[in-house]
Amino acid sequence: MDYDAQLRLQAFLDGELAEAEASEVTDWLARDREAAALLEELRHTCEALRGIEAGIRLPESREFFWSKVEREIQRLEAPAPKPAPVPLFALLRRCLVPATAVALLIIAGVVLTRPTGPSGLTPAAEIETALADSGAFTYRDYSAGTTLVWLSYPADNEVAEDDETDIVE
Amino acid sequence: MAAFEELVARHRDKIYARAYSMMRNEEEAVDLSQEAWVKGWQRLRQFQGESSFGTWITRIVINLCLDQLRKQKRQRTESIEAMSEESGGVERQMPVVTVNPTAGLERGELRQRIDRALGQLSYEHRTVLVLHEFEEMEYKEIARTMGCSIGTVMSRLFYARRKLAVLLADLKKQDSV
Amino acid sequence: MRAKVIPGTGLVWFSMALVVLAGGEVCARAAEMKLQAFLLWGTDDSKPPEGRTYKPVEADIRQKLKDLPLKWANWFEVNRVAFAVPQGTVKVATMSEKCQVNVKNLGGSEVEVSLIGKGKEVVKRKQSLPKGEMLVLGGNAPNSTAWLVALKRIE
Repeated sequence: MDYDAQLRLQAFLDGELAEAEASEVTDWLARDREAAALLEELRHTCEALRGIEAGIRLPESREFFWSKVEREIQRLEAPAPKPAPVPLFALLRRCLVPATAVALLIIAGVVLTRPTGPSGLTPAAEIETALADSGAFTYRDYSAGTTLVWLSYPADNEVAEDDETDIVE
Repeated sequence: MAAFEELVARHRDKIYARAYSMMRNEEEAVDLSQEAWVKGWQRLRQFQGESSFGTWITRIVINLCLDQLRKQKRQRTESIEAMSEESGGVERQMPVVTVNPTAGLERGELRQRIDRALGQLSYEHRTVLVLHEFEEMEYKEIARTMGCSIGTVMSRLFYARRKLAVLLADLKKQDSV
Repeated sequence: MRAKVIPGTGLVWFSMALVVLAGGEVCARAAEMKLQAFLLWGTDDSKPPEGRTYKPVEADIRQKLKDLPLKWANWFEVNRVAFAVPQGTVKVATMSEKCQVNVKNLGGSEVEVSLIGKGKEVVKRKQSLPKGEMLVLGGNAPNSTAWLVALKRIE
């Protein structure tokens, strides 16, 4: 049984097939024991999960939990206090001192971050990924300096046994 | 505020249960439940009764859990096992589990086994399972919620169910030895 | 009459002068990045399919791929593109008819890489790519094989 057929069985179980297709699957199940066994396995799993959340209870008392929620709501809704106006000279003095500190830090940063090689003093960069499909894994091999991003592209049900979806050629 | 407190009391277990199913961590589930209630209060004006209040607040906690899981995923590297699960299509080759692994079990025991088995799925597979089986979302809606294709939803759901069946069968075998 | 010297002013001017000098050095070092992009094909077969003349990947790439959690036994090079990206610009490397990779040099070893598959952006990634390091993007291909686009920084 190929993968597409297996997914079709699942869609049949989940009521995601159109009537005509569902009817075809019913006929298929009547003559294919392997398909019927797989459907039964999927059905058992669904039944096992039914109502499983019913016994889960929040492990904090009603009053305690509510007090946290209420406190957070009140904190977010409290108006922010207005800052007192700062005299101009004090403001200028306040700017010069941090400006000097920042200037010294920039110099230190420039001097210290000279790359010394692949495993040198280069700081770890922040990695951001914006994904078209959130089904991606990232793996980092720090010693080899390799980052792998594994994508679900093409989507799993598009990886058919032909070259249509082949990105290589 | 008193009326909102009443709503919290009525739905708090369900919201927590959904957060726990997704996060598999008690502390995180409590924190996210709390955050969901605070957000619910802030957005109360936007709730127009197009769904039940329970459904509405559940969707808030689901989205918070998904955001948190995505953030955690960006910060951690996946295990080698998880990588090969995603890249190998291993669920297509698993033999069919013919014996119902949950037959004859007490509810509590079944819940424990499911709990252990769910904890062994990756966050993507578990999330698809939770959204489909517990939240009763259709494939299309799950795809929109998770930001992936319907094909990916179907693959992940299939993998999650097959893996769960195998894990439950293994647990049954261990217990009978 | 002696002028009063306000303490700290001298320090501020000295620091600003150093900043200007350091800034000059940073600009001088903002050179272009030299990269190599490889389109690779992964399989458990020992040779490529009939009619394809892919060659096995180079030893250093093979070693790096071996350390990654990928299950395929053999890797073949389908295409290779060498290119340079000046700071602040984007270069496009066409790996195949259906695949291209856009690389933007953001400066300070930071790159933004977009993979375009069949005309659509598949992934965009921003990260540091120091000299000698490699970014590998990959996914499943037909017949239980895999594709990779490996981006290696040469300079």
